[in-house]
Amino acid sequence: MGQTLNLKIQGLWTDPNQFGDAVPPGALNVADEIVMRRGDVADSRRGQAQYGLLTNIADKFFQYEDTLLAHVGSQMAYDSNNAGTFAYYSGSFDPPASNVKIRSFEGNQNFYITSSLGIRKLATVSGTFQNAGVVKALYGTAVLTAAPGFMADDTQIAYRMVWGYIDDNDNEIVGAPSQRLVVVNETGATADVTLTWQIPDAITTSYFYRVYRSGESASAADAPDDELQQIKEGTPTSSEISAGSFSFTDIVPNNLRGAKLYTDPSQEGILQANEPPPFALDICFFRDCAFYFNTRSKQRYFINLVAVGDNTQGGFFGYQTNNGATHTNTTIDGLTKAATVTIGDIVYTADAAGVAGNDISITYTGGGTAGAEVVTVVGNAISVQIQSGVSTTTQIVTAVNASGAAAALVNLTGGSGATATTVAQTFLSDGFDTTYLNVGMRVVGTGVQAGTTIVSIDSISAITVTPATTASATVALVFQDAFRIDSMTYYAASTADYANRQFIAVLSGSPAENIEDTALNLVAAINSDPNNTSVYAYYVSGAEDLPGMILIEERDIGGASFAITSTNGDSFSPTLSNTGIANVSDNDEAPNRAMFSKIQQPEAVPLVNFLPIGSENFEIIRALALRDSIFVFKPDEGVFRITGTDSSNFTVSLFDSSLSLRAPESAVVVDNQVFCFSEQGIVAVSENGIQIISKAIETTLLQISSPQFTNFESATFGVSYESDRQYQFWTVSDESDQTATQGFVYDTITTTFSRWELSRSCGLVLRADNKLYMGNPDDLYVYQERKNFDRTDYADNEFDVTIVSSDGTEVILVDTSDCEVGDLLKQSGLEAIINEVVDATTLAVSLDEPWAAGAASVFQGIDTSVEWVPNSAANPGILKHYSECTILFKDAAFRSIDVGFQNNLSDDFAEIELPTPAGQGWGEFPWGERPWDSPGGKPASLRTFVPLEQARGSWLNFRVSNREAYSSFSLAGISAEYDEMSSRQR
Amino acid sequence: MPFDYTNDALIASIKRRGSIPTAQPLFETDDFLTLADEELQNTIFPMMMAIKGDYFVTISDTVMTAATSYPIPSDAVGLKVKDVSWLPSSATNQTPWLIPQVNFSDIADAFATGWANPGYYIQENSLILVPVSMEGQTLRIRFYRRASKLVPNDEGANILSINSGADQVTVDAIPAAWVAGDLLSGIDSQPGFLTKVQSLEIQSIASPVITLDDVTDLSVGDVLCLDGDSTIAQITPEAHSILAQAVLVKCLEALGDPKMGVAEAKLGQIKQDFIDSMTPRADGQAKKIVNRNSPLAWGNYARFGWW
Repeated sequence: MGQTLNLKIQGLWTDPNQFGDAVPPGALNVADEIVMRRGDVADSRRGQAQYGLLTNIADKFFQYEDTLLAHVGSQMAYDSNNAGTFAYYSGSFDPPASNVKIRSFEGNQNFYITSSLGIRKLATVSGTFQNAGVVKALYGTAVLTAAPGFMADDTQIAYRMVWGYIDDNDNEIVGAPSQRLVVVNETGATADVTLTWQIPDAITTSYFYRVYRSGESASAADAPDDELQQIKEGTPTSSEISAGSFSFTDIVPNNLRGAKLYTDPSQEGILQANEPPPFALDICFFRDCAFYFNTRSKQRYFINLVAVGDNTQGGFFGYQTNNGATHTNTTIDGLTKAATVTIGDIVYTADAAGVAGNDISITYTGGGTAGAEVVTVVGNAISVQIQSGVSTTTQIVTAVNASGAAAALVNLTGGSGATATTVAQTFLSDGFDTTYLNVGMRVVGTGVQAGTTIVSIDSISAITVTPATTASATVALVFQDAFRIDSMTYYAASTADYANRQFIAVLSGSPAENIEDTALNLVAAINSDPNNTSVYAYYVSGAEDLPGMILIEERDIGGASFAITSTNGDSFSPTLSNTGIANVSDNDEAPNRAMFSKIQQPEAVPLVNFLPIGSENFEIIRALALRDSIFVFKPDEGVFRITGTDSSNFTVSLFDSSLSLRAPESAVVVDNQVFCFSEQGIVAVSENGIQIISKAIETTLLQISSPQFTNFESATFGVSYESDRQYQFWTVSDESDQTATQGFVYDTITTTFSRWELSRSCGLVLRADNKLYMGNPDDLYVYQERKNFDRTDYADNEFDVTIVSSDGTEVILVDTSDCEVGDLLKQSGLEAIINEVVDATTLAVSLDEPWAAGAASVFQGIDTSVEWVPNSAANPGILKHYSECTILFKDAAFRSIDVGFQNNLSDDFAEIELPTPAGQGWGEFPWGERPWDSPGGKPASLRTFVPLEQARGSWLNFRVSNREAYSSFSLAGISAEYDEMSSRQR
Repeated sequence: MPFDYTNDALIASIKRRGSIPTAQPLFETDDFLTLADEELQNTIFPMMMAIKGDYFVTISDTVMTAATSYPIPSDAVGLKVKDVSWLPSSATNQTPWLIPQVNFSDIADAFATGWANPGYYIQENSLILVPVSMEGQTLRIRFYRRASKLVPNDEGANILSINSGADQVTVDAIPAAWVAGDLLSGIDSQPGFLTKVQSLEIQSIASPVITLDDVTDLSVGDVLCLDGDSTIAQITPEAHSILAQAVLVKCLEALGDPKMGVAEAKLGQIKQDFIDSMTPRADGQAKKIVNRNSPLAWGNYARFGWW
């Protein structure tokens, strides 16, 4: 008689040839609800019980300050009493994209998550989430005060300011500085400076501001440097916040300026401005830096105002005035006016009406002879050489009219004979027609309804507007250019009215001054607009830059793009269209980009702190940090590794070009390795390389990850259980599964897999109690691992029942519908296994005791099952007669266990219930013999015969299964005895 | 504590002898009892009958009619009879008169000579009386009764009390399968374990009370089983262990156990010991050596049809 003795349990090995050497001794076909944490032993898993109820399916768990947090629907919740009562944070929390889950890290004692609103931060577990980072400071204005003051005459100084706050964990969070505000003192005396700074709407009274100032430049013609030192720190008042700005007068002498601004050239430099974290799909913490992956910036649009002017100045961006027009309903005609200028008592009127007349100029030069004035015409420039102080206006009129070229440009009236003197070049003005008008310009004037705009340009002298005018007389009209950000329209005018989106187009200065002042006014209008909650505008022209550079930037992050249009698009660079989306913002979406923060400042992410990772064609879907590396997963490009010690030497290298991550949430860190599911199955990624660990169960995994399992990637997640040395891979088991229904539990020490069949949506091991918490999508409860290290660990959920009466081993309940055989009925000191659910109200239990009518609890048993690979006695080619087997247990803490047999000649398992050896199960040995609640019983062997129908075959499958609450086993091996048979005996 | 001779005890003995696991799927209780039934028939009966101690002999009385054919009792081992006699109905002394078995050819010869003595011959499974039946007289057939089919203890009921007036017995537990109309046998629970009475019809059941059509022959302690069943192997107690050993040998044979030879040798030894110790059945009486073919005995055995 032969014997097969197997004293090893090696976990699941369902894939290789189970008859050969491809599977180790002790390989299993089924390893349900067990763990393989001890060498060669299969232990019952611990149970999980309801812990706290959520309002929706838990999408993902997090931990912060020893507390469990959950992402639930569009909410974030936390365990408010660390006992399962979940409270919800204010606000809405959606993942940053539809196909990813929220990711998190802890840094500087804060908790950070990705979201559809960008990176969010929590400073105390019971606090409120807020956007990470601090808003960049807006622009300010400055006015010199009367002398005396700190600022010397004939100098320039520059200002910048920053906003900041100190969070609940005493971290000082400071934002990016404002653009430079340059002040010039050419008053001829010293002066102080009164500053007014705009307040972004994210600022509260909890914030502080700091204002920095440069030293004085060498002269008013020289730009000041950017070495700024603090001259003011304060906190905005509520009224200032309501007003949208604060003001103060800078009186600090130069030698009393304080600390330097961190962006000074001598410090970190302006490129290291503390921009808020980008919108990111994944985040992690490495080398004291926060890393953000697959990033997007705020929606931004850079534009340069290049020309400002009215109808007399070329019709550039601004407003145009027509001092006399005829209104008829929706048509305004009679817009054509001839340009004129009066010099002395002569009125020059352009021959041709319209804006072209504004180009005609008149100049009186000296050196001539009265009565012989000489008229010269070059283009539109008419020059008259007169005898200054002698020539009369009558002589000038005669001379001009005598010049055919001049007479062709202008008509002259007046000329009473008064003497004339030289006159510098003077242009005709107020020539007007529709040449410079554009559809969409606002029309303002008496009898014109508010909001009237040009609908069409009908002729050189007529336009159509809407709504219809109400004026009946000829009135002056102003035509205002529009600058639009989506539907927000800002009009250029001669006066400012920010509440109504109207700003001043400055026309009185030099072109550069007009551009700069107009651009600043536009920025102010956008930022001061009480109805604008979507964008900020920044004037970004520096001292060495062209004037008029504006940045329009999304206030929050993660929003949709916006379009910029204008009625005078040619006055901008790039040229703006009047309508449409030709000019839209961009969020610099970079699916292959990693951005990183300053050291120990996770909320400060300079724009230059980025690393492109591989091709932009392939997005980063997951990144996890190990001790010395961050591994970045791109499904179509491989695995990249970020190494380095700080921002100065972070580098990216391709680690493996063939590994393609399939389920992003499967990736977790266990034992300083990244475990995840890839196209090659479950792999362990470490600095030493990539190891495929799921070869033993590969076919099973390939099946459930095939295309017909449409929810595989969204439902799959991993759990890191360091203390139990487990990587838990939870995934679907059926094509229709929306969430995970089974978990493959990999022990990193014994390198074995087992399987738990539970419906779960997410999981996490909480550091505070080292227990596993999992979300149950079926009942919306958070389930907590039972972990008392005693027999009570071995039951799943518990629920309340009401006992009506009992008789012997029969117990009558109000309702037995939730009870199952193997559950444990418990009331005070009484515990009994349910042997049978007799009917809707009757249970047959293992204990003949008088149960009291009233409340009791039922603890659900765990369906544990172990099935070895076929036992062929090393030769599946011959028939054998298996006579008996012995199941060996390291611990046999159960009342009975089922052993099943099946061979190649029988389809079904024949099962036998084996009782534990006398005195082994709990309650079956004398009181005091063993420590109370000690785990397990004693080593035991259970011997039994092989059923007749299964005794003869080429191989034999053995199965051990058990369902008893508060019971467990540690399976150590199996022995089987057999005789070889003649093959003819079949 | 009295010895337990029930079938459950028998199975426990088998398991003890073979270290057979308490729980195993190869041999169910029915399997053990089926094997025991077979061993009863194949091993124990031949062994005990070899002693010639008239074990298992019982009688079947039938009032004869005009018919000459009477069936051999169906529970007769091998459907054989030990002997046949008749009881005169008028006689005060119930001494049976032996009816000799005759050969059919002898009968033919006798009729040919015009003289015929009473006798019987066996045709198929019946006794054929010749020359005629003795109508009104009792025909007594002695035969070796086949033991009842062994069933688990829970398929029998132990009588705790008897209400003769109401024909009711109170039992310890009533098998769930029993219904009114079933026929029961009363089996003596004391060694010998004879079937005392058969075909007691269940009139009604009101657990734990069974109403029968007759309780006359029952005693407290008897076991009720369905006709043909028994919760006790109906053999002498000393043979119970032999039966257990015999079943064990079959079990080990089924298992292919290498120790089967040892068990089989043990069986042979205890069988022989039993035979040796039980033969003769009546100690102190010299064993008679009878030569039935001796001419001196011809007259005693109706060799020539005379008695």
